[in-house]
Amino acid sequence: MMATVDGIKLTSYGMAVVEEEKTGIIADLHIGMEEISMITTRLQTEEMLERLERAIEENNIEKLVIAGDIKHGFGKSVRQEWGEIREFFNRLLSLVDVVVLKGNHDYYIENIVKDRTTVLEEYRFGNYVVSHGHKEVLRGDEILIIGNEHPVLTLKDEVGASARVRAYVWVGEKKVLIVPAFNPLTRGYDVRNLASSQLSPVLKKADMEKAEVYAINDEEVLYFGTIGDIKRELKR
Amino acid sequence: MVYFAKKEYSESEILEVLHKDVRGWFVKKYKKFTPPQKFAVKEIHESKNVLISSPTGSGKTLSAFLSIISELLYMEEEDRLDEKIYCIYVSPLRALNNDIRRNLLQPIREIEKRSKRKLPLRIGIRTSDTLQKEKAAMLRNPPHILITTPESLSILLNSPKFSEHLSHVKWVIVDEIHSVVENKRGAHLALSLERLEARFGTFTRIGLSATVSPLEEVAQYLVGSERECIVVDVNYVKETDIRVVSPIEDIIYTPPDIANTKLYELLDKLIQEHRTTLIFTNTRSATERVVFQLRQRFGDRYIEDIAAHHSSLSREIRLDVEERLKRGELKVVVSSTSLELGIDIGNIDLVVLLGSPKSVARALQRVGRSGHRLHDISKGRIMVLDRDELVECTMLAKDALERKFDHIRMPKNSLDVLAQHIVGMAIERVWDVKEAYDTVRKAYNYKELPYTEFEDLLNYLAGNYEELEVRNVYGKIWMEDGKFGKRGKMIRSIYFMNTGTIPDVNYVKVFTRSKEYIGGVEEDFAEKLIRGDIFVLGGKSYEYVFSRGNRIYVDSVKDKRPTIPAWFSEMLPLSYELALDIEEFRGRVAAMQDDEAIDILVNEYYLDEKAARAILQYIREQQKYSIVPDKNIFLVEEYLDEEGMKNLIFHAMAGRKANEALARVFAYSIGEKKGINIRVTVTDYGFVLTIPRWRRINKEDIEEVLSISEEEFEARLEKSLKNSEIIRRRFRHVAARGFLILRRYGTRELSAGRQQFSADSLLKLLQKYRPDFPLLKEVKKEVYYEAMHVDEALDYLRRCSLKVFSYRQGLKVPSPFAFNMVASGAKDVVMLEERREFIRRMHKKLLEKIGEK
Repeated sequence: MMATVDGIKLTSYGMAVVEEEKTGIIADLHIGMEEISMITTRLQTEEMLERLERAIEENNIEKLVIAGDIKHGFGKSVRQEWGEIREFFNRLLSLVDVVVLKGNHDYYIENIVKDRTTVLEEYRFGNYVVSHGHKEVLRGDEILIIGNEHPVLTLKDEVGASARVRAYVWVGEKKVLIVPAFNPLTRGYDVRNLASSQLSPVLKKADMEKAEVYAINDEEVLYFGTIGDIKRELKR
Repeated sequence: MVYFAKKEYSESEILEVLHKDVRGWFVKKYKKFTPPQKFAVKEIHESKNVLISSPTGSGKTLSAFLSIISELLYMEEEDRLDEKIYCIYVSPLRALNNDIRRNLLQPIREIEKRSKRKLPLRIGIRTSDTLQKEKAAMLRNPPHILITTPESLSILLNSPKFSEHLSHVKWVIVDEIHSVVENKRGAHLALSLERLEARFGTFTRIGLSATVSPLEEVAQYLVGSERECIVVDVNYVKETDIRVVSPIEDIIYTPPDIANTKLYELLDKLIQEHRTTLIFTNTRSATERVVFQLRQRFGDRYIEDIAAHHSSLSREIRLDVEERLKRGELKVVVSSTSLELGIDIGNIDLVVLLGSPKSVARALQRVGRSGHRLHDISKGRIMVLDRDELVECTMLAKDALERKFDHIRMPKNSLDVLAQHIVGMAIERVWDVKEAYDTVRKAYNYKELPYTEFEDLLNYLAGNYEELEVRNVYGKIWMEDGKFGKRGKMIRSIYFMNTGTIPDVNYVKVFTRSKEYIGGVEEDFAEKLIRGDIFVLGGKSYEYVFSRGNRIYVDSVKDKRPTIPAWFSEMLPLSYELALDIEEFRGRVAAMQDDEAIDILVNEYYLDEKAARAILQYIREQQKYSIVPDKNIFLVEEYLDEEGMKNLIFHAMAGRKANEALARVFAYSIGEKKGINIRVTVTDYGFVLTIPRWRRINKEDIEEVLSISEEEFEARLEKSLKNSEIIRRRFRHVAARGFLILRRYGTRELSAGRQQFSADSLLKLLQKYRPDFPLLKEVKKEVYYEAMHVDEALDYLRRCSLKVFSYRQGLKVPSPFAFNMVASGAKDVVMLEERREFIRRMHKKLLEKIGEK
């Protein structure tokens, strides 16, 4: 089962795809978070690369847009980030063109990826604009795709069994699609708590109750109604 | 080899070996030796390892020091006394170190006064509280006797200059040894002692212990797997008087507020009848409540001479309370666990236990705080408010008076603790792998460590996990040609900053929405809360609303059941042996005629007739309504509750730790067969499985589990625990202890919450790529034998499989024995559905409600 909103395909990899442009959009890789979190093994970047390679191949992607927060650490880069981000791009660039958009964690990202690719604030193609989402974007009726919010959906049944799944959120009223964090280790924020007051400036005054939720369940993407539906019908 | 001391030496035999100054002082001051001194002083003089277990006030500490001070004075006379440390005194309680020094300095000063000369003996303290300049002074001028903690000792071993001062150590005293044998601090200390011996040669080991069982095992722990030890057990000299009392006439029908009033009236009466009373509660919050209520109700009597003492209070307050207690200025002190251990707290003539202490050893430990002098009686009163407690404490008091103890449980082959020491050893020098392995196995906890586990651990620490393509693992050691050593410049500071076995806990403040401060909860607990959850704090229920920064906000609620599993509760678990005794006791009373039962309860169980009748009535009610589960009958009841859920109540008298495992295996087995998730409630007396009402569970579904093999039991338990809360939490502790996550690095410190976060991601990856990773094994061990007691669960299951199985279905009200089980307990969910199916089901449920789009 695959979902689409306004012509954008929502894949179970956590990558949104605009098929006619052969373009994939992901966000929030947070490379280097293992070192920041003082974990002494390094596996997550490899896992993300493998998942990304499959997503690229399956969807015939020629251009990949990374909508911010490639790296995890604020400020000066830690050792892991430099090495891993360089290697990450080396492998990725052998497959596709890559556009890097700057996120709020991405200080000094230019220094790390220079002579591999350029770093932009936003990227426009066809009827779409992509940005990280932490700043206002000027646009007409283009569809805006952002990351930054790390949406997840928490489910709980009557005996108390529970699960958390990553989710896309489509704010139809504002024509904004929020993609989930590509790195599953990052802390997620439950969609029920996505109040427009605390969100990206591009969602100012949006009625989030009406926003639609598409949750990733292994290899499928399931439509879970609106945030309002979830709040009313699914207890936590 | 461990053997009990048989020879009680005569006064002259002992006096003969003491230095003349010590002898003169002793005879003047004490005249006679106490029982432990008669057994131990001469043996220690002859450099034999000794474990001394004796009551408070019996001169235990002096038993060790008489020989040691004498010996040091002989050395001085012969001009052999160097600027070295000769005796290490390891105390698990850092707060007590100053008292220990004072108690040690006192005889030295008195000897000096008598012999009119200054003794050349220095005593020093070194803990994490010791200031840098004090450490520097100690390095230039080491003490002859060093008082320290297990953690500081392991750091000293790796301190390049200071460790040289340990080269002459002749004695190591381990105080309060019973408080470390059962946990990983003990395993950690055992390895430190072996490393000390491997480096500087042999020394005499002296252990000081409270009454625990078996003492032989504690002695083994003290000396390791290859040495001899003499056990001096003189607990018999202390007379103990323990009784169960209930403040109310009618334990069944008295309304709670009246019962509460009666409780405090009885407490007041007991306090007034005695000189100084020490009251133990089972939780810190109850401690505060009791002080508050006593003041509130009898204000004029308890103003200045009452105090609380528990571990959340600041050190200054606690020290002040202890001082006032010693000076006899307090009439009553209320404590949780903090006054269970430690130095002499003065002249207490009554100990009151509010609620069951849950184990015989703990009951005796607490009651043993009264009866200051050796020949005073230790007097304890256990106060009970409900019928389960009455039965439980009756059995407990009987076992305590008959000195029938619960067995200690010692952690074995702990790989996380060993990882720390391997890093420590590597910092010290280059080791031959085989030699290091042999050294480790001399510690009793590691006697049976398989070589492969040792090797796996070395491989992890050396970063040799290539097949995994785990890149850039920070190797902490190098390993080549059968040797290993330290790697990198940073490793020494990593070791110093992260060594130790006690997990970090952070607290989050809890406020009501009207900004009233209520108390603190553990950070992990706070992070798990979601809106609408109800939890208990300080005995009251609160509903979680939201969090902001390091605070959470709640509303006070009444009459709502808590929704949050109480992993974090301070509740003490009932010991397995005691649980079995209670089960047998219930059956025994049930089988008797009324008169006979009353007679036996009064005469054999030391009850008054009122209490005896309450127990009999309780058991008769259960017989009338249902069956009394005992050593021949296994009872499961099915009860439908008001919320429309079906509850299967398993009357498993095995204690909470065994029931944690049993409950999960039953839940997993039934859940798997029916394809449902099950809520699990675990108590000391059994467990409850909660499922949707329309699900049918047959007798055969339960019987199937009763007959499974040990392997199958463990396999199902493992599956039921996958990704469970308890595995996550314990993995965090193990990963931090095993240096997989660094708690502190450079100037940075990782909060408990961040540690959990890191641990979660590591756990997932390791389970996927490297299920045989040593620290994963360690988590399993810790959960199976510490968080739960799988061995006891298996034993209980075997007993159940031989019993008659009775399954009573369709009950509208639970039977009397089940009341407390249904009303309380720690809740958790065993998830049986595949995660994917679960999400689909929730998806379907939602779409049905909102209509397909």
